[in-house]
Amino acid sequence: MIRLLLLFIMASFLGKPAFAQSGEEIFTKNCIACHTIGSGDRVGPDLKGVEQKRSVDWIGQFILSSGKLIESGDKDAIANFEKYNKIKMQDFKFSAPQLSDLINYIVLAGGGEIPAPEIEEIELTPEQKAILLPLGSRLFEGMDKFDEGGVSCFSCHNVSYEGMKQGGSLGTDLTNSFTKYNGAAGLKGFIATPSSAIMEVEYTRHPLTQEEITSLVVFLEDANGNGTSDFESTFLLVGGIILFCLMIFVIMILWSEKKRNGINSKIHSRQLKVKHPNQ
Amino acid sequence: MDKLVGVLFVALPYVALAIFIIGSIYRYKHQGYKVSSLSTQIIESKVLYWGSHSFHIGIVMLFLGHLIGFLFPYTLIAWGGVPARIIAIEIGALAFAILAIFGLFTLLFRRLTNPALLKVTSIMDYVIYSLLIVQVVIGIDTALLYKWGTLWYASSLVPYLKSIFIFSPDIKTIVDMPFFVQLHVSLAFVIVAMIPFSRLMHILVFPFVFIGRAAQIFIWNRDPKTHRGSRKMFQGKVPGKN
Repeated sequence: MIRLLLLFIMASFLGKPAFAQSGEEIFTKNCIACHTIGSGDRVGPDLKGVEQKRSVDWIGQFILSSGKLIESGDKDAIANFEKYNKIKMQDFKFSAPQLSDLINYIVLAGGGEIPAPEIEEIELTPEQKAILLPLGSRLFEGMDKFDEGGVSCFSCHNVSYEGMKQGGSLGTDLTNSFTKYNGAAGLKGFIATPSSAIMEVEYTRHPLTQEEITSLVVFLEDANGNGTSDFESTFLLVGGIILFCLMIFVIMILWSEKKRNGINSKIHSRQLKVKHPNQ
Repeated sequence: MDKLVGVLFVALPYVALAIFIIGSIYRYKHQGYKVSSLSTQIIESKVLYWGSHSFHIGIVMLFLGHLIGFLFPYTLIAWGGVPARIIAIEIGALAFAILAIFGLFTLLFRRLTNPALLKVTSIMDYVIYSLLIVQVVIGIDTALLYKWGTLWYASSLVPYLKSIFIFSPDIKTIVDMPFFVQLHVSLAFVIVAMIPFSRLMHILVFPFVFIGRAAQIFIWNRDPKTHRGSRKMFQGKVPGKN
């Protein structure tokens, strides 16, 4: 971490614009989905002035693995986690120079020395939403496939929605995710850069298109506020037991001709009689 | 924590696969005639009929299901990723799992209640029965608690399993999985490691050749009843007493 600090100091001496540019790229690609610099909190906190609240060393550690910092019992990291809906930030594999560039950029943009990143807000007309809603619901449920072949949201997540079958229960229930992730922009950011490794691996290999993400956000906005249904899997067990009984019946029919008594069972019982004549 | 994760999800699979391959070759080369499930059909076959059929049909179908997901994950996702189909697949898989559990308990009950069978039952048999029962129960539990297992197995667990087989382990997804799923995967590797030391070895010598082979008809060249010398013994006489 001393090396990181040195790099940071070096960065402030060596032409700021070049570093800021690289930092801006990293920020726009990885952070903008959940953070702003001076435009308020989103999924995560507004990063303006973050260097005054936390040390550069701490910020670097948090970016590389917020989970490890939380696990280590760091009070600030835990407080952050609690404050922002217990959504863990994903780990980033930045090199030391990249990390230094990024932090440098956040500091400069926050201080107003360079322009802060522009936040793109989703502003859709009701007509556009009406078109995207059915697409989003079909994509969520897997009735329409994602362009890159990624697995449907329904596989792991449930949303209480009229006419929709119960979704998966590996991931969290997303019925009220629109509120949880602070609206369309936050939710869009979360889908684009998910915090769970399971989602990250799947959608890095099979990325979602912008249109798909927007459709999903519109669908989740529509589902927002629906009461979450209770977890239900009894029907699976009942179905399984009925089918099991049917299989037992098939086994009985298929091998009914098979000789059920072992060839030596008679000989064996005969020998037992000889060995224990009084029984 | 990191060490435990490394041991469970990286070291264990490789150790298990190494034991399985080296152990199987060693046993086949040095104890070829002992590569068998040590059939006890000759002692008891009435209960065996229900236990063996149920267990084998159940476990083979479950294995094939996992294998298809492993080999063709995105074909499975493309076809089965629709609510009605996934519900059908899951109910089918659950039925096979219940069939396997029913078979396992029947077989265990058969072993424990028949004195002749007890004599040919080794400790390893009990270990294998217990491991398989625990493994299938955890599988059922996972399917019911964390839906829809077929789909997330294909999308998120298969990449981990493939990374093991291409010698470039990536444990990112398995670390994020619930405890039961991690246990199910680890136990599967333990079972693989036990194949060379147990009756499971018979998996490797399944007589596929019998399927295409011409039938062999066995004809008694004599009337066995007239040759049976135990007519006296049938009456319950102890030899040498009368």
